[in-house]
Order: sequence, then structure tokens, then C-alpha cells
Amino acid sequence: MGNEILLKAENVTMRFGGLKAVDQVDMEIKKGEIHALIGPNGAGKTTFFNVISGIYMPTSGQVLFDGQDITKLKPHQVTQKGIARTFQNIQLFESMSALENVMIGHHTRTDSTVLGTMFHTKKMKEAEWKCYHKAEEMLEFVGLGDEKETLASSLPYGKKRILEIARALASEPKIIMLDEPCAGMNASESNDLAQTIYKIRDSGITVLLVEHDMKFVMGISDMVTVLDHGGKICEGVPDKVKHDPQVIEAYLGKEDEE
Amino acid sequence: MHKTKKSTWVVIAVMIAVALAAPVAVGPKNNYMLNILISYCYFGILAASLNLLIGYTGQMSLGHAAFMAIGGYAYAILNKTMGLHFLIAIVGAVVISFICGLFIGLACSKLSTIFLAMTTSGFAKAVTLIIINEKWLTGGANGFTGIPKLTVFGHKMGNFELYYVALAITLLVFLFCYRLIYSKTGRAMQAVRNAPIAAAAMGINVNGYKFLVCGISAALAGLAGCIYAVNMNYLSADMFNKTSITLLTMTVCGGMGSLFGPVVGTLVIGTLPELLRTFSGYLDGVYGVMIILVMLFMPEGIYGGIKNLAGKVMTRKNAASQPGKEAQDGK
Repeated sequence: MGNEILLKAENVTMRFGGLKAVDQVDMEIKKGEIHALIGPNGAGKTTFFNVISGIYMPTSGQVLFDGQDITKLKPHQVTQKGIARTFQNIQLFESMSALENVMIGHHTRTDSTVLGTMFHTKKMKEAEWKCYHKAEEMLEFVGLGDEKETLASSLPYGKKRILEIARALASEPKIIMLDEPCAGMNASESNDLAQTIYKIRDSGITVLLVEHDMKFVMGISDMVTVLDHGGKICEGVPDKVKHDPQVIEAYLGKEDEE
Repeated sequence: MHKTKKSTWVVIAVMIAVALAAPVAVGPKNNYMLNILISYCYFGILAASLNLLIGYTGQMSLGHAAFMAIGGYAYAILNKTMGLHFLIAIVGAVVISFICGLFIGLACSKLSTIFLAMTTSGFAKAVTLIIINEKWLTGGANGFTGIPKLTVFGHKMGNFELYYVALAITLLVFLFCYRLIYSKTGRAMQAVRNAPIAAAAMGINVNGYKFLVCGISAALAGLAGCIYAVNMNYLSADMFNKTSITLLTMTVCGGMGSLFGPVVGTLVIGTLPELLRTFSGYLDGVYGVMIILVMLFMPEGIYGGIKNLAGKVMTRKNAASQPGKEAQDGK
């Protein structure tokens, strides 16, 4: 693991009217690590994700990716730069097959134009095949090799989450952001998921993960950041975070309250 | 990579064969039937173009006939008023429709659902009013008369020849749609319809694609307008009054989001007015009832309904032969 910083958030604030959903958060994610972002409900984790992936433009602050300022980029431009994500509430292309879903993930890396499509040029066909093989490869990678032709809408819940990961990976990202990837999964499914996340890390892709399941997070993360009420309250290796009084307080409440 | 089933190709081949033989069967002098056949061609193109917009990209349009009118009038003006060759006039009309489509595309990328439906409907009204008021250019309320027939090497084309030209254009349009849908662009369009936020997160420029598809769809509608203009020899604004709804009926009843849907829709809805000639006053009512029935019982359109039914029959057949097989496997 190098010490190179891949993604850096500086002083990011996101305000919705009077509510500060994210308040002056600084965060550094090193290349090649599995970095978890945790916090109680409403802590601003998903908002922070949306800021990084370009869905929200932060009220103030900056997001740097690989040294470049990506704060003002649109979501599709952010993906182009090499940031992929999944969604907390699954957002698949329901009426399309699993394979087509993953092929769409490869969109930014597919090199074909409308004119090429019209005249069925050789270059366009090659690009299409490359896209097809990439999608196949990604489905195999996450263990959905047998579900190629299955409609996304008819996949079971756990597999839908996995398909989202395959789709995100197909965009050949440098960092993948997983928003509650094991929500609603049973123990064996989340165990498989952990293996998949290790595999992703080992293939050189940095992982940023939002998760509620503490056992899961503490088991696989190299680094944990804790948010509460939009602000960062703790950051460090899992063992340190686990015993931090502020974190315990945020999750369990103050002793002398009431 | 997409592979079309052999059985599908057979169906397509049969349909093309029937389409080629049809004018011979009705007789080359039977102008009434030939006009109907030609109407299948331009309605087919229009339904296919609207399908790209509504069925694949999920953008509502209640004013698609406006682009047909723009294409038709642009062709008429370029060809008759300015005296340009018909090929140049067609290209010009398609380009003008494309540009107008991009204009609506701007609205598409800012508005959604009901707001977009109102905007497109308003656009169609505006186009009609411009046509009526700009008398010097369009002939105003009296219509644009005397659009010449196509002439190739001094030979004036009758409806018999025009049908084959229209059919060739229609087939090319469907080939274009087929290639478009099974490409990066087509996948992106469907992604935009299915889950716009996820599409953006996959690197798809959602607004860019809406903009582009509006342009393409309008260009195809303009092309259909050219055929219409040549076929009718005459254009007037009120010819397009109800066409937007007819087109919507064709696309929705036929089956959105499939290439066969518009074909089925065109054949069914295109034939209705002829069958119901004696009740022509109730035609709109029939459309209304059809839409309600199809939406209730075949939400995926007539084509989707037939496909589902065929699928059910197949599984029942399989189920009937299955128990014996299982028993054998058990031994």
C-alpha cells in the first residue's frame, strides 16, 4: 500500500436551506486502501457521497481527485475521471438484462459514435465486442457469470446489489464508492461480498464504503472515518475508532443525558 | 453482443415480401389502396421515431406531428417555391426538422413528464399558428397547393412507384433504428429512461442524450413529412391537428420500447379509419376506447401482449411435457 493520496476532500460543506448536511469535512483516501465512512442515520454519509460523485455541488470546499479539482464537474464527467459508485436504494436499469446493465457501466470507455453505428463500421463493431467482453468479465468477477441474460428486475435482492458493483467496476474506475453494499444481505451473502471487496482492492482499485453493519466495517476496513451531524468526529484504524469515546457516544448516546 | 433470433428474421422477411407484393396485389391503378399503403410507410416512420423518444428514452411528446408538418412544409417550400431538386429538398427538410428537434431537446433536458408533455403540445400549436399566419411562405389557411410529384429522368412517378420509394425509405429508417438501439447510444437511451441518476453515475451525459434523441426523432418525423407532402400534393395546417394523438396511439398501443411495436401499431391504427369509414364521426372515440382497453389488458402494447401470450402458451406446452420427463429422470 502506497501513501499516495487518491481522493481528498477539503473543508466540504453542503447546506440544504438551514440544514448543514455536511459540515466542513476533511478527508483523505489513500490509494489502494479500503476506507469506510460510518455514522448514525442522518450523519451526512450519503450526502458526502453525492458531493464526491457530482450529484450535488458543495456549498463550499473542494474535492480533489488525483490532484485535479473535480468539485464542479457533472456526475458523468466524474465517472469519466475514474470514480464509480453504487446506490443505497438500488438503481438498476430494470428492464434490461444483467449483461446490458454492465455494458452501460462501460459507457465512458466504449469508443463508438452515432455515425459509426449508422454505417456499422469495423471500428464500432470492435468497440462493441470489447464492451461485451468487458461486461462478461465483470459479471464473472463478482460471481454473476450465470445471470448474463437475466432481466435485472427479476434478480433476487442480494444479486441486485452485486450487479450494481459489477456495473460500477465496468467503468474501469480508480476508486469505487459503495453505498451500504450489504444492506439487506444475510450473513453468508455479506461474507461473499467481503471477499469480492478484497478482490476489488487487490486488483488495484481503491474502495470507499458507507456501511451500517459495524462488524462488517471493522472487519474489512484499513481506515475508518466517522461522521455525526455532518461533522467528522473521528478517523483512524478500526481498533482506534472502536474505542473512541466520541464515537461510542454518537452511536449509543451520552451517559448523563435525560 | 445482440443477436436477433432466426425466427425473428423469418418474420421480418415475410413482412418485407408482403410489403413488396402488396401494390401488385391491389393493382397499380388502385389509387385508394395505394394511398393507404403509402400511409403505412410514413406512419410507420413516424411511430418508429416517436418510439425512440417515448419508448426508449422515456421523453413524453404530445406534439410530434409538428415535426412532420415542419418537414413537409420545408420540403414543399424548398422543392416548389425555391425550385430545388427533390433530393436536396428532402435533405434540407430533414436538416431543418433536426434543428427544430434540438430546440425541443433543450426543453427535454430541463423539463420532465407532464411539463414536457405540455411544452411539446404548445410547440405543436405554435407551429400550426405560424403556418396559418405566414401566408407568403406557406399559403396560410388555404394550404400549400401543387407540390410536384417526384420526377426521375423525366419520368413522373405515380403512386405505384412512390410506394416503393417510401417503402425503401421506411426499411432504411427501421434499419437505422435497429442499429441505433443495439449500440452504445441505444443502451444509453434506455439507461436514461430506466434510471436517470444511475445513468449519470455511469458516465452517461443524460441531458446530452435527451437533446440528441429529440433531434434524431424530429429528423425522422420530418422525413415522413416529406413523403406525406409528395403523396398528398397538398398541405394545410389542419391536416396535422389530430396527428400527434394518432401517433401517440400508434406507438403506445403498438408497444413501446420494441421495434415491432410501431409496425403493429401502424397497421392496426392506420387501418381503423378505413374500416370505420361509415362511423368516421366516432373515430376519435374508437381511439380512446382502444387506448383504455390496451392500457388495461396489454400494458406493454399489442405487440407485447401477443409476445406474452405466446410465451405463456410455450411454457404451458413445456409444462405439459415436463412431468413425464421428470419421472424418467427419477428412474
